[in-house]
Amino acid sequence: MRPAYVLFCVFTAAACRSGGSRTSHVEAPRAVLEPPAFGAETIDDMLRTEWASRGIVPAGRSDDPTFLRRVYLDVVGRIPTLEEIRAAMLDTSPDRRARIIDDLLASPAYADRWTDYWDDVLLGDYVRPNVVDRAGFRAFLHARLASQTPWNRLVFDLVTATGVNRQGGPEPTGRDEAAPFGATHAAVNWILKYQNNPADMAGSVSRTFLGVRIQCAQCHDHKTEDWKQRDYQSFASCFAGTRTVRLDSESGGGRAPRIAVLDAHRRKPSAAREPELVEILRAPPTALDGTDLSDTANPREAVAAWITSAQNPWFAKAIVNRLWGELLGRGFVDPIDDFRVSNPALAPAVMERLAAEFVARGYDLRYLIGTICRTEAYQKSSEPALPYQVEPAFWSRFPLKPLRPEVLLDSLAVATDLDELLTGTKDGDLAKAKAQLRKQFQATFDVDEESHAASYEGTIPQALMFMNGRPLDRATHAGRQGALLKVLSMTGSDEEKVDNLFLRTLSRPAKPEETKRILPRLAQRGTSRLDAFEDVMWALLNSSEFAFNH
Amino acid sequence: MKRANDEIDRRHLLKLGLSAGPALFVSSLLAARPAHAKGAVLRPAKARACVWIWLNGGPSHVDTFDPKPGAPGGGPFKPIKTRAAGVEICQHLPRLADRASDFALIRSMTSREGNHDRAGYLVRSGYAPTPTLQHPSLGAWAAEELDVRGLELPAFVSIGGPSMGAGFLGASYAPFVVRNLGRPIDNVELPRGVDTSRFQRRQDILTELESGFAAQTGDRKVHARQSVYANAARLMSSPALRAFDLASEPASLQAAYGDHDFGRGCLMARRLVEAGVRFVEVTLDGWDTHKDNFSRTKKLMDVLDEGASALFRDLRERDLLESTLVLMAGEFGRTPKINHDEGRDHHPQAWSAVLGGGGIRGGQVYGKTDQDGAQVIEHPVTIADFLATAANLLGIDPDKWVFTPVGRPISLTDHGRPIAALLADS
Repeated sequence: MRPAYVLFCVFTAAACRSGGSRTSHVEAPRAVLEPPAFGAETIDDMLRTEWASRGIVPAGRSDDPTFLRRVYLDVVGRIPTLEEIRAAMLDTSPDRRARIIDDLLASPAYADRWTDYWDDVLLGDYVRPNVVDRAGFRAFLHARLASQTPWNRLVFDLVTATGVNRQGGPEPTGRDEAAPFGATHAAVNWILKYQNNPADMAGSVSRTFLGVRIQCAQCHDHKTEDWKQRDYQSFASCFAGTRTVRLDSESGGGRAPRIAVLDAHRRKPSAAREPELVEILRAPPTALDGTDLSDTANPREAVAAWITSAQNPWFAKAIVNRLWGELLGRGFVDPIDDFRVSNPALAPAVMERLAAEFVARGYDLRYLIGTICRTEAYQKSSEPALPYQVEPAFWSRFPLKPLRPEVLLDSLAVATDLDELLTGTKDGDLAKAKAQLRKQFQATFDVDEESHAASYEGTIPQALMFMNGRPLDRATHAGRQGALLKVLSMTGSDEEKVDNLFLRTLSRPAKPEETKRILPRLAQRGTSRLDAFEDVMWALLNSSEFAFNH
Repeated sequence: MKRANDEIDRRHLLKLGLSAGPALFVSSLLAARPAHAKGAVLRPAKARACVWIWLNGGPSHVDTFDPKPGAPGGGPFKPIKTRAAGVEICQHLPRLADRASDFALIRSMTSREGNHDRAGYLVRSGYAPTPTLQHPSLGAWAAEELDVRGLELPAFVSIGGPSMGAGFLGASYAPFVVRNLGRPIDNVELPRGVDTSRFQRRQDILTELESGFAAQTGDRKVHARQSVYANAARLMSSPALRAFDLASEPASLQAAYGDHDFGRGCLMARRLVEAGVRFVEVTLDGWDTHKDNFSRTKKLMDVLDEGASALFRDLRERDLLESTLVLMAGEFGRTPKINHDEGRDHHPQAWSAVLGGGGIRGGQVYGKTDQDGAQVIEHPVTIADFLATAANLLGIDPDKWVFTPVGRPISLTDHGRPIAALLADS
């Protein structure tokens, strides 16, 4: 059996075991007993046909170091370490790429990276620490991702979440006031983001999990699509019974108050003030395909079951499209969360096939990521085959993807042995220093409300931070610790040292022409050798090749 | 971007052995206006720079610039006379009333977008948001179109933020956002142990690496990033950085602008304009008054009145007002009807905007709303017309077509026409 298949069976079995009280609403993940007839090769065949029929000459295959860096960045959110690169270089077996993919998906770092991703998608820049317990929410995501919770299950749990948002709160005053609201369930923090606004919650659920921007119909009937304002209101109506209850007073000993989320009776339309909310309360709770949910005991739970059912026309496609877009730079549907008739998908057959397979495999996110990483498209070089085919049309070459801030920071940490550099500094506690760095990175990279990928190409403050800021300055000082010191204390020629620096930062050895240019700089008059090495390190960390996944 | 640099960039691209793709993109940005362009653009431009006071949230026009005393939803505020004959504005804007000859008031702004995000995008860019294309804001257009040769500061600065990006024009035209007025720019100083010559050596190594990667991938993103780096490096050594430092301003002038971030932002805007920055956005947030409209709007008017009137006066006293266009607008107006919470809700159908300074005939009102302020009854002004007027004064041709990355031709204002009645005689 192929390793991938074994891995898959393990995941599926684990997924089946992780059932809970609400499994009845969720399509039970099915174990597939037959070896897969579908695989990355199926996608390759389909895309080759697309390329041929459009006269696209696809780029060649990426080389091993490039692929290694790419898949590390995408699957575990950082560049490979020197040791990992060396280990991978020793493997010459034909299926070495598949093995790397599987190893990374099985590593604990997988959940770290995708927690960052989903935290960013779900909570985003939303910062109201007094309402949302972000750390708790991240812990929830991390646990679910690490335990291979199937996607349908995870979404169902998120959309239906009830309970108390965080543990603790002020000292109990005799009896536990939270008791009637159920146990602590950090998933509710996502619900709290919407501040009891069913319209916002509905818009977000639809856009994030179904790829449908129903909220465009919030203000007017959609001009080109079938969506009417009424559809939007009826969908939002499913969330109109969700309530929040503050359990502690605001100033409870300086700690953030606990807030409970529960499903209550819907208010009467006449009780609402905002005209928009009146309309939503008047509308019968209805799924986007018109399924009437007004007779259900709990419309929020009913709509969650509808969203995550195998019959839902968007649910599987939306996540397939999202992850395809995350890994390959462009979804079949672009933007990734805008499915509509007037925005047709590229290669829709590939998307549909992959979505069907994803459902058959029990909504296993790792299966999906692993399959995409195995495709020829994902393993293409970023160098265009023909100089005028620069646009990566139909994924015929790998695009340049700017690293997300947290990925950039974690990669910087790997390249420079930042942990060593930070310990023993006046910042003291390593975790604290890293958290502070992370905050600084996020603030600098947060350009505007809608931080689009395009913004990551860089802004002046970002460039200034990288050129002169403390993290880089520290990383490029050949002090008592860190990567640069290790390189300098290596035995071997300068050529080998330069190669080592390139491997640590760009995950590849220096090219001959690069070495030829750099060596004389190390022996330049008027510059200390140490300074010269620091300068090379500085340039590598500031380079576009470092800043992009390519 | 300045033309000269466009040329350099294009040559640069070709020198790097790049494909025709990006080179074609750049050259299409340079494409001349099509023959059928309407409304000749003003040459030379009347205004060198623009300050847009962005009233985030959408101020109530009825309570500010379009008073409706006696109307059922007219609210408690009284109108006062202004320097402009027959023009009255709210009693809580007395200093602006005194400067009314510096600006024109449009009372007939009208649009259809009643959602903050969508309307904010529309008013700043001239287009309703579409999922398929990210449009640049007027500020980004200005940064791209205007001649900024020799300018070491960012061409487009946004004070207070958040602002809007440069859309398809790319990150190099995006606003430089100043969030913390006390410390506007971090990391402009070289780290310890790095002098300018060493910094230059670092840059040289970096340039070599970048050239290799750019040639290999042929990707526009590498060039965009390189140009951001070049601008950042230029900024570091620039004496112009002093423009961000308010400390050298006399205490009396600082006091005149008001002891609040908005006032300080206005003062910084004046310093930036003086230093050659072409577009400054100063945000005054908080106008989304669904509850408690009157007390909140009054507080905001006090702040606006102080900062904006000081800006007009200061620009005037330095002979900068004639060359600086000052805009005041948010994403929409607010309902003439007062809701249960003593608030007013979103009202894009009819609202007010201010244009002052460079090339504007001040002391006048353009357009009119009905007795409640609910509908425009005279000279409706669309967002496109508003932006076309501003662009025209800045010497930007609102009809110029550029091609988006997917090859779709697009103009700045989607056929907006400059409003002749607002323009000063030339």
